[in-house]
Amino acid sequence: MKLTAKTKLNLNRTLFLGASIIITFLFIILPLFYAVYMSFQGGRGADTSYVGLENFKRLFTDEYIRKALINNVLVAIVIVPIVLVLSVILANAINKVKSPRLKGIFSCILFFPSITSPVAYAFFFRRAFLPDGILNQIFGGLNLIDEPINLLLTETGAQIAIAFVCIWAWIGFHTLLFLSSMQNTDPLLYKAARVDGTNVIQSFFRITLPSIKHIIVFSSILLLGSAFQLFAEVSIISKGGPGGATLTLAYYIYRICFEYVPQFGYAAAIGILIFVISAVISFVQLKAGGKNAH
Amino acid sequence: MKKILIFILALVLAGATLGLTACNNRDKDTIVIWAYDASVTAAQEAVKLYKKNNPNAKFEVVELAQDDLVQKFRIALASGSAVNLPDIIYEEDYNTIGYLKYYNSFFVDLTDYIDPSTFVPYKINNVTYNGKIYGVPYDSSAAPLFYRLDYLEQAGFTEADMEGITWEEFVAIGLEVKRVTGKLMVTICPEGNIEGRVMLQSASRWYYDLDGNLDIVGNIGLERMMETMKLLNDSGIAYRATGWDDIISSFYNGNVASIIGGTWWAPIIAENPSQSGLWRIAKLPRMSGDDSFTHYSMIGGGAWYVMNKPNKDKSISFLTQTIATSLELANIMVEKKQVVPTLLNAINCENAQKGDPYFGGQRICEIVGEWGVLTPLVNYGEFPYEIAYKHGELMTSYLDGTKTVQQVLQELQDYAEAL
Repeated sequence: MKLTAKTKLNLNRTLFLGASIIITFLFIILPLFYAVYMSFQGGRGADTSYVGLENFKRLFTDEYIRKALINNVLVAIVIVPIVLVLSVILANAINKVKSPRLKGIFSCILFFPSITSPVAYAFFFRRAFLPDGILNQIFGGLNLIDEPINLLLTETGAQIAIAFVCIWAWIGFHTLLFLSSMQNTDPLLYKAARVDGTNVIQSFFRITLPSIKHIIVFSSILLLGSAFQLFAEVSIISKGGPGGATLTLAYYIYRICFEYVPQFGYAAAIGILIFVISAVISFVQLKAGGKNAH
Repeated sequence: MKKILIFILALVLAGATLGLTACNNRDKDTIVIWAYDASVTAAQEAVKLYKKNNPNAKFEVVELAQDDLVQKFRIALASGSAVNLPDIIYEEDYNTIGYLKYYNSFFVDLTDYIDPSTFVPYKINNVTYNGKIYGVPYDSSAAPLFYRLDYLEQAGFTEADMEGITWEEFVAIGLEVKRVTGKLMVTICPEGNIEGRVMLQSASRWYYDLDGNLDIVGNIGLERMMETMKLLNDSGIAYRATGWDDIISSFYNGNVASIIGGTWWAPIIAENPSQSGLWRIAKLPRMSGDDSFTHYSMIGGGAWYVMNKPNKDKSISFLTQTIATSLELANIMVEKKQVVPTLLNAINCENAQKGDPYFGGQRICEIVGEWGVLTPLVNYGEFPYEIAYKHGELMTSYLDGTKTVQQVLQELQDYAEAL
């Protein structure tokens, strides 16, 4: 049977879309439904039973959920803006570099953390933060400190350590996002602005920032998602301590599944919580970003 | 047509790949053993021994990091299918009751195969649940005090000065060592509650009583343990570590004069050849305040469990002929990994009689083996890590002066009751 061109096109679309739909269904939709089902199961280990909304009620009384949520929110409201601001500034600086080769080198250096396994760099920084680690050796060598400091021993120190690693890890990718958008901005706009007597700072706020507004929204959605799914760095560097100071929701899920007698139902409820928070934030961000955000 | 065929082929390949990842090409008669650290060597040596009389037996020893083993095991248990489980697993004593209570059908009752009288009592206690024995006890993990004799000698102390002392005497020695050598006396890790757990068991106490009931508020062992930790912390002789790697760094770099821990520290300490001959072991200092407080404890010991799978009879045969009874294997493990076996008569094996030059010729396996018999029995209970880690967090507040002992114990009791 000879197929018409239109039929062939539709068939191709159906087949290729179908493949991605099947994969999405098997690895994303189905596990999500199973997680929802699990979140209504209580008990431990293999001894589970339907408990209704008990797991969700427990979210409001569990002190570790409160601690972890506060920490995740702190990452969202402190670290995310820092990463966004630094990324924009760095991207703007690199964009001004005239040599394409230098631009490429800076871009590669910045992108390096994004292609490094979080486990690998977390181990590196864990060692670096310890009293015999490289940071203490450098500061001691420069006589900035009298005695080695164990940054991970105090709550504030551990939080600073995690914040530093997150900023280091996230800044490169988002800088390149902004850079690529800036490179697509019409240079005539800047020329015209100069003719009108606009200075560099005014050009930045009136031309550069508006032109990358959609990327700012996109980046903030990604960063906020990372903030609420923070796991590897906490797991390796501080294990959520000291005293729960760096505990995150994702690490708490790991703890109640694998360090304690497992409660997979409660862990699923926490997972649903993370999903809802991420979804709400993404929705709000998209709405706030206006039509250009899409 | 060509595109359709390519697409179908791609789907088939994808499906086949997925299918292959879900199964394995292991022979169904192969006994799969999961183990970590020194127990991997034990499994490998046990396989060699077993194959002398059973040349056709097939084994696969899978080495995993301890955390990875626990994760993988718990995921496999949660799947509800024994297919994903190994035939034999080595796991920590602390996790035993949790596994046996919530996943009992996956474990094989070994009561008819193990002679409890041949093992040190506290190890048999650790693998018994509801009157049945489920595990083959293995390493003692008895907890001596490891110390640097050279630092102590610089401060004017001898080996005799470290024997049978109290923690107060230990602090007095530590202050002098710090004054003379500038070295801190000991490493503690309050957040991980490692030394705390060692002291608690040495006091013949745990967070549960021997019947498995919570025993926190009013537990004199717990109160005294916390006060002892505060003494160590406030005296200025302790280095506060933030984790395992930090503990290892502290003694590897020669920054502390002693550490508290299981005998499994011995091969780790011995990895630094520059410190050979400088280390010794002594009995754990004793807490003051009650006659039931002892010099003996343990931390982190494990046992071997047979999973309820088609190969269980072969697994039982393997364990009972090797790990559960073999003095030859115990002898090998004493030499290779300084593992102190918990077979009662293994203390007399040839290698346990030899002195370890790293520890100045001390026969550490023999010495610690004798202490193992004196280690108090405790019931680790259903939620040992939940409570121990919560206590570690609260301990930090206590050491920092923001909470009293009674506040900590009440908060811990409330937390444990809600579990």
